[in-house]
Parts: sequence; C-alpha cells; structure tokens
Amino acid sequence: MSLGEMSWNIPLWFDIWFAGMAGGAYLVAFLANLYSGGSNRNLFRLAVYTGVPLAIIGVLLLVVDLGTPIWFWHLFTSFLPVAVMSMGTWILLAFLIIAFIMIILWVIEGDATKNAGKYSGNMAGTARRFSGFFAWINVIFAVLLITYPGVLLASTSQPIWSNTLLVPALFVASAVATGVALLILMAMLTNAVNNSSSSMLNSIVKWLFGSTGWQISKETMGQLSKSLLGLIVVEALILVGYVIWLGATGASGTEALDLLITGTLAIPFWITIVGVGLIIPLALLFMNRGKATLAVLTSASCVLLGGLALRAILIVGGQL
Amino acid sequence: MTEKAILYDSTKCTACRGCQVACKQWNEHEGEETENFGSYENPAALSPETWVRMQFIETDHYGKFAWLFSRNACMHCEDASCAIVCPTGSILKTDEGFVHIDQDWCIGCGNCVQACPFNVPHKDEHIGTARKCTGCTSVGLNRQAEGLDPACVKSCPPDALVFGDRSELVNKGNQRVADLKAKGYNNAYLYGERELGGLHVLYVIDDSPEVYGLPESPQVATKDVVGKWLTGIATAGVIAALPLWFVFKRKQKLEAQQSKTKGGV
Ligand code: SF4
Ligand code: SF4
Repeated sequence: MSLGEMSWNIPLWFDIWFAGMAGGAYLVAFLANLYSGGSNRNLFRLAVYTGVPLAIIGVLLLVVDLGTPIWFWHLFTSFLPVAVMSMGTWILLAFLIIAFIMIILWVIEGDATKNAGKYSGNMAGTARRFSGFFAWINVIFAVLLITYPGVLLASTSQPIWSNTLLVPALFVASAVATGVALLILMAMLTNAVNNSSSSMLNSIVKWLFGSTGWQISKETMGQLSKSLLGLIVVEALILVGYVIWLGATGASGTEALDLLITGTLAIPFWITIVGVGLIIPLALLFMNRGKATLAVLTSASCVLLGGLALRAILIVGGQL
Repeated sequence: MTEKAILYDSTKCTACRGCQVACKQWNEHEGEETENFGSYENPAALSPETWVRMQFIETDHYGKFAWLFSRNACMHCEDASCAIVCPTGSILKTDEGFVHIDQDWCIGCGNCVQACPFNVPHKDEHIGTARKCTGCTSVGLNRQAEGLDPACVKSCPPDALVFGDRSELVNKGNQRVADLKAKGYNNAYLYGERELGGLHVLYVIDDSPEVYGLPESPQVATKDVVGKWLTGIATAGVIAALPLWFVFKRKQKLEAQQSKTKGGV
C-alpha cells in the first residue's frame, strides 16, 4: 500500500509526536519541580507554554486529516470508554482546558505580585495555590495524553501494533524522552533570549515567566541532560523487549518483525530509530557527561527526530 | 427479532462473481479500473466501492494442488471491532445482527479500518467516510426491511449463498460440514459459528480456515485494552519517572545530607 492510500497518514505522525512532547515535557517538568522542592517552577512553566501550542497544532493536523473535518464535533457527542480515540479526544480537551486555567492563574499571580496594592487580600497566594492544585490534576491528564496514542495503535488488528502490550510502553518512554529533549532545546532558546539585547523578546519572556527571574539554571540543564541519558536507556530496553516479544507472537508476529528489522522498513528503522534516536545521543551524552552545549543540543535534536521516526515507521508498518 | 445470517458454501461456489456484480448494481457503485496481477481475482482488494469480491486460492489441498474459491466481505461480527472502536458511535447493528456505518455521522477517522480483523472497511477519499457492506440494510436501499434477500444472495446461481434465520443456517452449515467430513474432508469447518461471538456470515469450508485465508482465531481489537492502558501508565509512572527521581531528588537528598554533616562538625 502506498502512503497516499493509508487511512492513518502523515498528520497522525505529527499529531502523536506533538502530543507526546507536550505531555512528556509536562510530566518531566512537573516531577523535576516536585523532586527539587519547587525550585524548577520556570522549567514547569516553560513546559506548559511550549506544550499547549504543540498539542493544539497536533489536534488541528488531525482534524484536517479526517475524512469529513467539519464533522469533527461528532467526537464530542459521545463518551465511549472502550473506544480509545474517543477517550483520547476527551483527555486532550481536559489537558488543554486545565493548562489554560493554569496559565490564567499564573498571569493573575504575576500581576498581583507586581501591583500588591490593587488587590484585596493575598491574591497572589490564592492564585498560586489554585495553580498548584490544577498542576497536580493535569499531571494525570499528561500521563493519559502520552499513553493514549500507543493504546490507540495497540487496539487494532494490525500485528505490528497489537500483538504485544509494549507499543504503549514504547510510545510513553519515547514521549518522556522527547519531552526532556524539547525542554532542553526550549531552555537553551529562552536563556539565549534572556541574554539578547532585544527589549521586545525580553518583555515577552518576562510577561510569561514573571519578574522573579526565568532563566533555566545551569544545574537544571545538567540534570535534564542526565535525565535524557537515563530515558534513552529505558527506551532502548523497551524497544529490545518489544522486538523480542513481537518475534515470539507466531507467524503474524515474525512477519511484522521481519518487515521492521530486515524488510522494507529496515533501513529507516536502523538508521533513524536506532541510530539517530538512540545510539548517537546516547554516545554523545555518555562521552561528555552533558557538559558541552553542542553535544547536548545535538543529542536533544536527535532524540526529537528519533521520536518522530519511531511514530512514522510504526504507523506506516501497521498499514503495509 | 430473530437473528439472521448469510451462509456461504465455498464447496458449491463456482466463483462466477454474480454476487460481486449484483452488489455493485444494487448499491450503485462504479466499476474500478484494475490491473491484472496474475490471478482471476479482480479487484485485488475490497475498496469503498467494492464491498464483496471473490478470492481464488491456489494451494495444496489434502496433498493435491487445488484451485479453491472464497468470499471476501464484511462478516457482520457479533462482537464487531469496528463498532467498538468507532469514536463517534457511527457503526450500528440491526436487530438481525447486520453491521452498517451511518454515513451521516462517520467522520472518516479511519479507526474501524485498522480495527477490523478481516480488513473490511475502507475510507472513501472522495466522500470522506468509511464504507463497507451493509448486508443490504443501507438507508434507501434496505432490502432486508422489505423482506428481500441481500442482492448477492439473490444473484447466486448455485445457491452457494443462502439468507435466513441464523440458528437454522448454523444447523444447515454443520450438516454440510458433517457430509464433507464423511467424504474424507477431515478439516471441513463451519467458520463463524463461534468466532467473535458468532458471525452473521457463515462459511462452509472443506479445509482449515488458514487454507481459505481466514484468521484462525480472530480477536476483538480491544481485547487487552485495559492491560495496554496500564502498561503505558505504568511506564510513565515508574520506568520513565525513575531516572528523573535519581537525577532531581537524589541530588537534593545528598545536598541535604551534606549540609547536615557540615552543620554537625
Ligand atoms: S468484519 Fe470487520 S467491518 Fe465487518 S462487522 Fe466484523 S469487524 Fe466490522
Ligand atoms: S471512520 Fe467513521 S465509522 Fe470508522 S471509526 Fe471513524 S468515525 Fe467510526
């Protein structure tokens, strides 16, 4: 089957890549902030500010790819727990609505801190408490958001997706890794903007992050690149598990596996998923321990590309 | 309402393709341009405009080379994967058990295409919806509601296709399978009696399902859906969060310990 004839096509690659990055970055930044006792608030904000537009672009792509895009609202007329796509729609909606509420609360908090006299009572504190509460709720939706694409593929009759339980695990691991990679790249960008002389850029970033300072610290950058190293290892292990399991699921499994590792998709599989997505960033991060900026930048970019390749190759593989 | 079914007896089928043509005519589907790919089979696959087609199988059959015929169309499953995964609830089942796609509600997301164990629905790129055999229950073209047999059944010259009450057809099919076994076709089988909760298209075949290109034990697409959700969630919750814990929390702990030690000195 040629690419044009496939019912799940290029927009879906990007949709689940974006959704994975958005949810993955949220989860990572939330945990980083939690574990470090609240000292990574800016990273968390960065994850939300970057993730929300990405998720929205993903949804738009998906709507455009529907056979009848103007009927997309039919999705919101039913709530079907067993239908994964129905659940995915509601999860995404919830994730975006809560993220919007959090952004509004942050703006209120920033404004209240600046103009304390204008507000009665401790407005900034109240906004902060509420946004903290919503951050906890949305971490559930972030996890569901990165889980649903894998479950969507796995709940079909295509052996490459459905023969094992590990496609959801693989997509989740990759989503979290791409989330870290995205945070690294975005943090490099915002830090660069911080040091730039453009007053417009500076004021945008100040508006987003508040006046308390939004620079992502060197320490956090180092921790992110170490996390990336760990997550690549996890993803590689799950990929090995998936390949072994798929191969052990009878004739349909071996056929699917052959397609992937020795057949039509073998070259892209080995070069992009394994080479670019796993081996190159692993080697770079391991060799220099995340110190050289260029090495970290290259690794994060490779992980992002590898994540896209994983989705593209598996989505195509299920339809050949 | 009594459950109905179509019984297809491959041992009576002459592969004349009358059913294929009758389906096209009744549903007002265009012919498709195809290319010869070395078989009498034509077209090579189902499509939004081809809802039934005959298959020609050249294979080893009880030690001899044989040319077998089979039917490829929607099986109207009791546990219909297509309907279970459809996010808009567009796939409906008649009281008689026939599965059809509501063309005024389907958004063309393609999920049913991926979920069907028999690769039946296809997305129509012009209309935008997914389409497949309705068992002649389409709005405005509903033969069943008028007490008529589906068009394919009506057209079949050797009565290889029969329409009727499902329970009666199961008995008839099993009788035929017993006859075939008595003649030495030991692998003869009535496909669809039990598969996927019971299909509403039953096949009498004189060899194993595999020989006839049918999945041996088809599964509902959402069979392990809970396990799949849990695997993903567990990965996010434990395996992915673990490296982060080591990097962010452990460092924090170590620092706290260090400052304590320093404080004590
Ligand atoms: S054969 Fe496929 S399309 Fe037909 S009812 Fe079963 S799952 Fe649905
Ligand atoms: S393509 Fe239409 S019928 Fe098929 S799952 Fe999507 S909405 Fe339902």
